[in-house]
Parts: sequence; C-alpha cells; structure tokens
Amino acid sequence: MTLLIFTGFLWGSMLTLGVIAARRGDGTFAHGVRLALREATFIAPRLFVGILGAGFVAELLPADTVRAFLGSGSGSLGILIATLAGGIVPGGPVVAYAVGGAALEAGAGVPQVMAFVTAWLLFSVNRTFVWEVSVMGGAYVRARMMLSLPVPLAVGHLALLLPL
Amino acid sequence: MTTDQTPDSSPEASPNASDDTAVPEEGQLVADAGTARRPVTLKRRRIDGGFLFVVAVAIVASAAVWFTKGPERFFAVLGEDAEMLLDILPKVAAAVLLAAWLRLLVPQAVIARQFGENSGLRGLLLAIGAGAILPGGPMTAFPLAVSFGRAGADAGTVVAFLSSWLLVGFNRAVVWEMAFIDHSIVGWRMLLCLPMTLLLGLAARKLGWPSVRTAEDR
Repeated sequence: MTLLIFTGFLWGSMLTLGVIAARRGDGTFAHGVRLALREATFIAPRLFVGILGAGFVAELLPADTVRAFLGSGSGSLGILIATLAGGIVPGGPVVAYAVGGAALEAGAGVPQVMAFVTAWLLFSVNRTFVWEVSVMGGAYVRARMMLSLPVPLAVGHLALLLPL
Repeated sequence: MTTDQTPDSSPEASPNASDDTAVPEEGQLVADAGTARRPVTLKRRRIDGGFLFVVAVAIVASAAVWFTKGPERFFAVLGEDAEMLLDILPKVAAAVLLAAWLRLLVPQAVIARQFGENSGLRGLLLAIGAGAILPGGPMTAFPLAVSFGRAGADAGTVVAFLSSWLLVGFNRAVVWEMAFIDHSIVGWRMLLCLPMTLLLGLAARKLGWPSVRTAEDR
C-alpha cells in the first residue's frame, strides 16, 4: 500500500511537471530530458556495480558475527555501533548504502541499519569537509553536528518500536 | 531570461564567488551524485577513484563467491541482484526526470525569496518542505542555504532546511537508498526522520546559533 502511494506520487509528480514543461513550448521539456539523460548515464553504472557488489559481499559476510553485533537482538549497543560506523564510513552514497544493504541481507536488524544510514546522512565525512565547511563555515558546521549527534540514536530506538 | 540560463545559485552565494562557476548545466540533479570532488571542479568525471573502488570490490567479491560457494550460489546471487536492478531502474529514471524539470521550472531565486519573509513555525515547515523536494547535490543545497540566511531567514530555518535535505531528501532516497534497501524500511526511516528535522530547527533557534557565513565575510 505504502509502495503504491509512493510510486503513484513519484510518477504523478514527474508526469505533471513534464506536462507543465511541455506546455511552456520553449524547449524546457527537451532540455530537462537532456539533463536527466546525462545524469542517468552517470548514475546507472554506479547503481549497477554497487548492487551487484552489495549482493556478493552480503553472501560472503559471516552472518553469525553480523547478527551478534548488529542483529535485531543487539539492541542499544548495536544501534550505537551502527551509528559510529555510519559516521565514519568513507565515500559517497553507493558505498554507504551498499554497506547498509549488505548488512541487512547478512542479518543486521532494521533499527541498526536505520541508525547507520541516518548517521551517514548527517555526518558524511566527504560531504562535510569538501562541501559544507567550505560554503557554510566551520562554526556553523560544528554546531549543526553537535546538535545532530543524538538523532541517529533516537531514530534507531524509535525504529525498535516499529512492526518490521 | 530563458530557463536555460537559470543560475544554479546566485553567484555571490557560491563557494567561490571569484570564479564564475555557477553553471546550472554542470550542477548535479541528484543529491550526492559525485560529491567526492572539490567544489571548484564542477566537471564530474564519469570514472573516478570511488567508482573504481566499488568496481574492484564487486569483482573480488563475485570471484570469491564463485570459488568458495560454487557457481550455483554465484548465479543465484546474480539473479537476485538483477531483479533488484530491474525494480529500481524505472524509479531512478522517474526521479531524475522529476529533478530535471523541477530545476528548470522552479528557479532557485524563487525558492530563496520565500524565506526572507517567513519566520516562525511556518518558515520552518516551508524549509523542511523545500529541503525534501530540492533537486540537486551539495553544490545546490549549501549555497541556497547561505542565500536563505542572507534573505533574512534565521539560523533555525537554515538548519531545518539542510537537515531535511539530508534526512528526507526525496531524490537521494529514491535514486540511491531504495536501490540497496527495502522500500518500506526507507519509507519508515524518512517518516521517523521527519520530526527530527523540525526538532533540529527548533533547537537551533532556541540555542542562539552561529550565523551563517556569507560571501562578504570571506
């Protein structure tokens, strides 16, 4: 049901914007398609290799160890470990999400993986140092980080209550 | 002014005001597509170190599965992965098209103007909404956050906007996260993170936040 709503929203808004762009009749529609194609050629090979890699890595991970440290039963300690891992995982979205996806497949719990992803989103080393500090300034970024520290732990613990 | 010349960010708000680097054509449409670059190099390389690393891991891991678990497991995993790929590709196409038209139809300047006059809870909610649907990566989001500050938005609004772009950003979640993690898990994570963005904004407002650095301070 959720998936249906989400998919409907995605395609609905895409088609709506496409119609608006087409009706302007100034080349916006075609220009958007060109931009999207170029972006897609950048993204597609990364997703392709990332998904394949994540599947094979998950197959190789020692399921017992993953379950012990990050399984549903690992509770708060697992959420903390996942948060720390998410804060330090290097690289971009393919690496971070592939690690999360592989961990899930190998037996990590949903709350733990949510904490991991949330921590990566908020504290991604790459994004912070390359982009945020240079644009927003160090003081601002430090304050945002400090404020955000409890968020992955909170998300992980709230997720423990979910019917997943 | 045609949409083709819509600046990616106002030049004075860009990280390098001295270079005229604000070329929307080069800006990413999807959050984090190629963020492992310096802000001054707007040209993305199709093949970079990060990509090669992922390729190497995939090759080594697939070979390891073949030799330790046998060809049968190898093909089983390959089949599962292929299904995932087929499932995600149409969604990625839709998300990227959505981002492209959104960028062309709603120029950044229009968004930034909305934030000068709106403070209070309404400003926070607007900021969260804008962060969630904003197409583009850090070279779009951070300069836009700075321009909010200069348009008169308080720091809480800026924090709410950035936190929302990070935690509930729609195109990042569709293109990257859902490719690797089950949709319902991604949906729940976004739902749990949504109130967090509001709390972060309110907390930043309460705490007396350091002001956003603007181009003049540099």
